[in-house]
Amino acid sequence: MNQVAVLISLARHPKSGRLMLSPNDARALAVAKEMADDVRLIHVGETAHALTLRQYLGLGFPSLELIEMTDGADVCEVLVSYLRNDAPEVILTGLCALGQEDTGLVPYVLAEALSRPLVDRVLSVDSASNTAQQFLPRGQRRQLSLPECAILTISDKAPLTLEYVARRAREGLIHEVPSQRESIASVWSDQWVRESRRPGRRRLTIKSQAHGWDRFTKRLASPGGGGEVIKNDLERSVDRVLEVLAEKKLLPNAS
Amino acid sequence: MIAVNLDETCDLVKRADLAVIADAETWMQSVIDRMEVLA
Repeated sequence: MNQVAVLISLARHPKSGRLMLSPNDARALAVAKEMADDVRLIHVGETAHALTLRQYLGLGFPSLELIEMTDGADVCEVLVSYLRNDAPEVILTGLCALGQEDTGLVPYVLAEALSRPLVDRVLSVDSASNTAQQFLPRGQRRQLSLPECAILTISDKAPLTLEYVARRAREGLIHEVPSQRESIASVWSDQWVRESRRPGRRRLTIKSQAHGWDRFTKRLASPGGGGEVIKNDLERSVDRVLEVLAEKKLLPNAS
Repeated sequence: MIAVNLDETCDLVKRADLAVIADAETWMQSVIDRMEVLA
């Protein structure tokens, strides 16, 4: 296989919301590394995120291509116009981006727009026989022979085998590419509801103002169902308790 | 749930179905006495 490209995205940390390396894309990179020595890494995004993108270079890649995103553009439109002229034979993607509200549709839209077959949930690729192992549920696997040009999405069950080396992350090169758009309106379905990209992040977890101790004491202070309280009356309390126990059939002579 | 405690502000007293404010030891002895009489 001559040319392999991996589309990489930036994930958001589920707790802190910070941008980080996407494990799904790191799996795709691990598969790509097995397929070819020279792998192209392609990212559509902002140059401000270059530092985070360097994490991918730290996995053992000398350079990546960063296509600058213009406001309002769709990632797919930018990618299609970029890949149309200079398309690698095999394009790998992670199963789904791990930001927020990600659909995992990008590879499908690309496959449709570039008229390429798509193989989803690939676990590994054997370059010698040109076959891919596909993930199926319940421990089943399927061997597929790969077409010459294809888009593969890598299963989230594929192993993370690449090691991060900080020196490689520092020394790698980021080539910035100006973006162009190509309308792919023919791909969009009429039934889709399309929303513009929402930058920034929202917290995934609801932040409670009260601390754990406050919640604990509040729970304890809540009324427990308005039970009966007997004070300063020993005889009556004994009567009442025996009555209750008899009601519940907990006295040996009451049953 | 039945709670026996001297402290009537105790959380168990608030939550119990029936709460008795008394010294548990003497109260329990009187319960035993009563049950012996019944038996």
